Amino acid sequence: MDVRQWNLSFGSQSGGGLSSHQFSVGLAEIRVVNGPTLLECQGIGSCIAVIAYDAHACVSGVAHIILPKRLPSSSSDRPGTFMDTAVEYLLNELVKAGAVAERLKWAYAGGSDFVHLASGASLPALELGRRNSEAAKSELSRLGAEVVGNDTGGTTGRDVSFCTADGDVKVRTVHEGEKTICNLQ
Amino acid sequence: MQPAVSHGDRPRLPIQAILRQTQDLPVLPGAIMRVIQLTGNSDATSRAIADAIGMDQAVTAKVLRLANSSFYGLPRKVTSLQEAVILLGFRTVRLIAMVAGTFTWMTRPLKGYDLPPRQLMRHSMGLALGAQMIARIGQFDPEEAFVAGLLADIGKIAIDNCIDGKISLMMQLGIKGGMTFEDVERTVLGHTHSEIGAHMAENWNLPQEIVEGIRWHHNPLGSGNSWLAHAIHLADVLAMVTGYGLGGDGLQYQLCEESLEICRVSAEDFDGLVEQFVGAVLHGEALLEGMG
Ligand SMILES: [Fe+2]
Repeated sequence: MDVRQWNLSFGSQSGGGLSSHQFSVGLAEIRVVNGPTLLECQGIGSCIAVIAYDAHACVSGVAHIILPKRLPSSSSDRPGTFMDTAVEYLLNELVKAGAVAERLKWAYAGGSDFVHLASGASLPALELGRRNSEAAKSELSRLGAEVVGNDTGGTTGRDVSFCTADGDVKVRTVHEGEKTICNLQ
Repeated sequence: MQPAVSHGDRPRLPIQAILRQTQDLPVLPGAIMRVIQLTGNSDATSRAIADAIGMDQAVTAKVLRLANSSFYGLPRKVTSLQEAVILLGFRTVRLIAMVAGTFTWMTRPLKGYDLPPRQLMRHSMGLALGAQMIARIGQFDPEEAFVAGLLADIGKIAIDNCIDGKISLMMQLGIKGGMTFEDVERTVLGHTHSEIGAHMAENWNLPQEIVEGIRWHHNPLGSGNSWLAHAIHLADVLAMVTGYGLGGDGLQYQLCEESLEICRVSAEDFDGLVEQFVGAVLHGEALLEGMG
């Protein structure tokens, strides 16, 4: 299945053409579903999609996370914005929906950065994709999450999807097409 | 299909020839051109702006729909252009008119760039709102930044057909060769979407600063020292990292670090800028909610 939708609405919520079990998870959004579903994040750049699934309870969730950590100046009230609040929030919501924390399997994808020519060493502050990938890794490890796969780095956009029907986490890029990065069953 | 490899002696099609190949080449409605010119005029009155937009019924209907969106939260429904200008101010109505006048072709899918319907519009709104936000920080002209940001990627519409089916190879070429997507466009087509967009804006008689802002949005140092090119560049950086209307060209571009200093933001504030940008674009989605 091609995960890219050609009939998206402007908003981040699921738009026209998506079935009732299919959700497009937009910027800073966290979506948890109890039951069969197809969850998608379209056009991930430096952001990270964190995905979790308890196959036994059939509870799954995705967070579309923008930044590694909440800043002193932050005014966003969306917990999905920051890695240091989003993953824990997602975990709590999954448990509330009937998942058992120890049974959850996790994956994450995203974290692209701009092209850096060999001569143009960049400021780490501008390498948001790399910092996001590292934050995902350490936050998931802090929470004792069982991470079964990830796909990060590079310079391309990614469409990331998870489907309860087969448990596959898929990533699509224009130059490599669609590939399954891991299975959360 | 043409091979996506470099030919030093490959004949370059002139931009005019490329534009002639494009069916449905975007046209800026005459009413919008007039509105842009009017704003530079200090004598511009509500009536003159309203009259200019009013010449085009299709644009007028869209302007009223945008003015009545929850984005502006007007206390009552606006039913005439003059009312809109009185309640929102002519600066705001000028921006709304730009969105209305470009909406039809901005919402078309660009198959070549792997952009589904409406994604170019989302990306362009991201550049418009992002450039406006950065202009406010740097104390530049936010309205001019909005207009130039909105139009920065119009060149993609003109060359989408030329790269249809090639984007996968073009990205492979960029990744393997360490080239930016603009380098790849130049290799495959002889021109970049920025150059072609600038050419289109020139044909529409848009102000020279806007033309140059479009031309240099991926390489703002080339503009001399146009703050506008740097502001659009940073807005584009923010739109790309957040994947806002991200196309198949992904993040296959260079980030110009000098743009930060010119726009008076520090690299340490980058995450704060990203957060602010996301707030602005999510809020901005309310503007287009009634546009079907
Ligand atoms: Fe561009």
